[in-house]
Amino acid sequence: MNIKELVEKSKNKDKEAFSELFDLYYDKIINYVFKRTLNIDYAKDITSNTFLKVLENLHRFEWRNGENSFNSWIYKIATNEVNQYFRKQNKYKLSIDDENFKELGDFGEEVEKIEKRLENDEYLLVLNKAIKQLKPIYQDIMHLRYFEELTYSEISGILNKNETTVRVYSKRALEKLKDILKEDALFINQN
Amino acid sequence: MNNIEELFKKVNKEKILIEGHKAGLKNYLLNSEYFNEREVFDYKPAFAAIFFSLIIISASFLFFNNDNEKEIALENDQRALGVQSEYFNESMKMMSATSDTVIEESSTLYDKLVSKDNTEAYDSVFDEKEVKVLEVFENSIKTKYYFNKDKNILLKTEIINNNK
Repeated sequence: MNIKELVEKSKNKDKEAFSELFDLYYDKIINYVFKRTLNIDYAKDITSNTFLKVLENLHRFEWRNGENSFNSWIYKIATNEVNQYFRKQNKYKLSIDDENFKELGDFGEEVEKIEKRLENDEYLLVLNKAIKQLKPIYQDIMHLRYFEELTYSEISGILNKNETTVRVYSKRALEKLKDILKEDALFINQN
Repeated sequence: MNNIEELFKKVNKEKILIEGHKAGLKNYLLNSEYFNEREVFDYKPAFAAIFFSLIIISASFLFFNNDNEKEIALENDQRALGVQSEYFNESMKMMSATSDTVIEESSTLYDKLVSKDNTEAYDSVFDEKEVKVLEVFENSIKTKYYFNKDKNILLKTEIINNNK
C-alpha cells in the first residue's frame, strides 16, 4: 500500500493501515526531533505528542499538495511541537556546551547504546551549536532541508512560507552557518 | 558551502532507534479511543435528527392546532347562525301563525255571519260613522251586528225579538 492508501484507510480507523503508517514515520520523526533537541526524553515526549496529534487531526487532513501532503503535514506537526518546546525552555539561543554534551550521556543504557551508534556525535553537536545561533525560522529550514532532506516545496508547506522565500532564507542561513563554523576550531580542523 | 553540506551528510548517516518507546507508543495509539469510536454509538447525528424531528412535529402541531381552532370557531359560528336561523324561522312561523289567526279570527266573525243564508248585509251610519251592518235572523229573533268600515271591529250588537 502507498502512503495515500495508508492514510485514507487510517482515516477510516483501519488499525493495520495506521500501524504501517506509524512504522514508516516513527523513525523519521524521532530522529528529526532528537537532532533538534539533543535530548532523548524530550525527543520521546515530542514524538509521542506528534503522533497523538496526528491521530486526533487525521480526519481533517487533506491532500492539498499531492503525494507529499502527508509528509509535510506530519513534519509540520513535529516542527510546531519542537518550537513549542523551545519556547517553553527558551532554548532557541542556548549554545551547546560541555554541559549539554554531558547531558547527552546521562540517560542510562538506552542512551549509551545510541551514543555508541552516533559515531559522528561531534559533528552533530557542532552543527547544532552553530544552527542554534541562527534565527528560529532559519533553524527550521536548516533541519528540514539538510537533515531531513525535504524539498523546498515541502518546507514551504510546513512553514507556511512562499517557496521562493524558503529558498532565499535557506541560502542566507547557509551563509551565516558557514561564518559561524569558520570560528569553530573543530570545523577548521576537519578542513 | 560544500563542507557544510558534507558535514550534514555525515550526521545524517546516523540514526537513533528507541525500540521500547516505539512499541509502547504504537500500542498506546492502536488501543486509543480513535480506533474504538466505531463501536461506540455516535450520539451527535442521532441527537441532531431527534432535535430536527421535534422542530418539525412542533411546527406541524402549531399549524394544525390553529386550523382546528379555526374550524371549531367556524363550526361554532355556523351553529350559532343555525340556531339563530332556526329561531328566526320559528319566530317567523309563530308570527305568521299569529297573523293568520288574527286574520282568521277577524274574517271569521264577519265572514261567518255574512256567509250564512239567514244573514243580510248593508251599509249604514252609526254614531256619524259609516258602518257595515249584518242582520241575522234566527226564528223570531233578529240580531244586528255593527262592524266598522273595514269589517274587522265589532262596534255594537242589537237583538230584536219580533214576537213582542
